[in-house]
Amino acid sequence: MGIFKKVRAALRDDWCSKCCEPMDHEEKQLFFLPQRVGHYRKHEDVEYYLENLEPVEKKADIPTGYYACGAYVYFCPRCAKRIVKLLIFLPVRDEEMIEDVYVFEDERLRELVRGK
Amino acid sequence: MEEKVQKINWLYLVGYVLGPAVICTICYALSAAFFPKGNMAVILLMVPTILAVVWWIFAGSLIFRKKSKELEQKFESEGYTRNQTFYAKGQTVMLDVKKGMLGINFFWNPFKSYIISAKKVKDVKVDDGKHGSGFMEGSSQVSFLFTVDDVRVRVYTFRSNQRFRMDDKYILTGISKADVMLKSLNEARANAK
Repeated sequence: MGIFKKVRAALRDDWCSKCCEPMDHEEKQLFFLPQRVGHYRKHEDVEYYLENLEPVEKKADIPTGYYACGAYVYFCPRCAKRIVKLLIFLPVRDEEMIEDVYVFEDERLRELVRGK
Repeated sequence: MEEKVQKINWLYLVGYVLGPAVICTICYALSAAFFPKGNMAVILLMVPTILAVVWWIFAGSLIFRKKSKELEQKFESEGYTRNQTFYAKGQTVMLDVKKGMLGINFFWNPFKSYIISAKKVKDVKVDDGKHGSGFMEGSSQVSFLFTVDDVRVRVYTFRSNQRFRMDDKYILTGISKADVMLKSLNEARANAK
């Protein structure tokens, strides 16, 4: 396995860290995160997101001054690993101010993204 | 008749700036006239100077912060809910969006706080401070503005001595805060009686 692939897998969230290959993008969903501008607090535990994320259809449904979370499910066809990437951002007019990115391997979070 | 909003109390401003200077001058004159040497001379020269510097650096913020807290208590004791409170360097603005009431006090007029109907608020807008073009485009300040009793009030949500790109985190946070206040002020205006 090439060193470049290993480095790339380490740097990119959508690459499988085990197989060092790109993963397939399965699903995505936009969520409302109940945190206000100027009062953002980091949460690294999946439980917080399971309790607080509320699905919305489009960015315009996020109230002004509140954070949004884009959730993306990736699947590795070689080792069958599934991950959920959470991209926390503040929508400001046409821009997105990215605050944090988290990657979880949690079945409950995947089901939340699927809308179950 | 309700009192008109006043941003600056000139007596306070002049007293704040010149008061310590006058006291220092009197102390220096006393020292020169009666105590040219010794402990008393040191006290008369040093103590007022140090106190004046401490006053100029800290007193304004302390007074303003204390009066802002008092305004918060007054706002709530009158039965209003603080749905939005914005603490800026020059003003503290609080809003009861449902009842359409605005509470405000100013750094240079801290002893007078105003609780007024949001109906009096006009021309609300956000200024992102954008200037320059192309790769030079940027801003060093973001604010929201409104007019009340013909007084133009500018509340900074971000201010810096450096210039930032328009997609910088500081600028976007400032714009977002200003947008929230703009939306809340307009809602309060609509709900005001």
